[in-house]
Amino acid sequence: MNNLEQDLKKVLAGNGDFDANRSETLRKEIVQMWFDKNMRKTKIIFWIFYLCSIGMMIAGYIGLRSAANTVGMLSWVLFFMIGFNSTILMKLWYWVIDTKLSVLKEMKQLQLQIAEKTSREQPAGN
Amino acid sequence: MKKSRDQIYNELLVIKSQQGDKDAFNELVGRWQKRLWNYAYRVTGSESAAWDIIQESWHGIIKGIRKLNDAALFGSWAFRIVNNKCADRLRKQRQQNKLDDELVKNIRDESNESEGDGKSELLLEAVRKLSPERRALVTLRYREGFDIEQIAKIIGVPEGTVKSRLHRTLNQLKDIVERKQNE
Repeated sequence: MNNLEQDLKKVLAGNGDFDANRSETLRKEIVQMWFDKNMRKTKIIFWIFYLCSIGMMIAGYIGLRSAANTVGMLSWVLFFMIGFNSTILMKLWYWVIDTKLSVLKEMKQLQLQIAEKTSREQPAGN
Repeated sequence: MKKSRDQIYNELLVIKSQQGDKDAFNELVGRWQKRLWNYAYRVTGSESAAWDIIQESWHGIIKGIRKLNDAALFGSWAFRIVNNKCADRLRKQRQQNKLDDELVKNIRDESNESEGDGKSELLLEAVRKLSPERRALVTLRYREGFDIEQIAKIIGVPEGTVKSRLHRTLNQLKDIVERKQNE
């Protein structure tokens, strides 16, 4: 690294006029309003689709019981199966994502513990 | 490469945020807000614009955080979002021809505040005279410490282009400083 690059690092290290109060207000707004809202929205979308799938299953079952001919019965079975498979796929998708994140979280916590232990032991070893 | 405790903790916060943990996300915002704001400020040269950009960027981050596959990439991903917002903002400002006035005002404001040796001031002034795209490049490299590969991902150009642009920017800075010193 040449002199110019080192000087640039020094010169750019300043923080401008960062307003800590404004930052704190924005942080609260971001977390309490947007983050919560976004998480709630995702849950609502999930439940709407889930209830629609269950509704399809119920409608399919009722339709199947009251169908007069084979073609009608097959159509209602198909309708029921779409609803049934949708609920399974949604549960599976949720389970896969949740498990992946839980495993990653455990791994990171373990890595963190190792890093903390290593940093504690290093001064004693020197 | 061995990760530091801080990096691992940051990744843990990202994963917890992806799971919907509000406290973890709160801490994540606290950790990154200042760095992202500083970047936006360096690129746009305006404090109010930097705050607006940060606000919009956090919106984007909240929307996309669940889709982020590798928590270790959070930093460069967040900077890319801020960089894109800065580019949009500058494009709009250029259309309105307001950019120059605001920049001149900010340069004047900062010059009054800045202290230090003459060489540093000359260099800082030279950085301010660069185009926003080049200021972004210099800030990412020498303030945020990103490597060429990460910068290429943030600004969305090939690594070779980043290298050549950085080289040209350093030469330009050298020229400006030398010219000022000779004056």
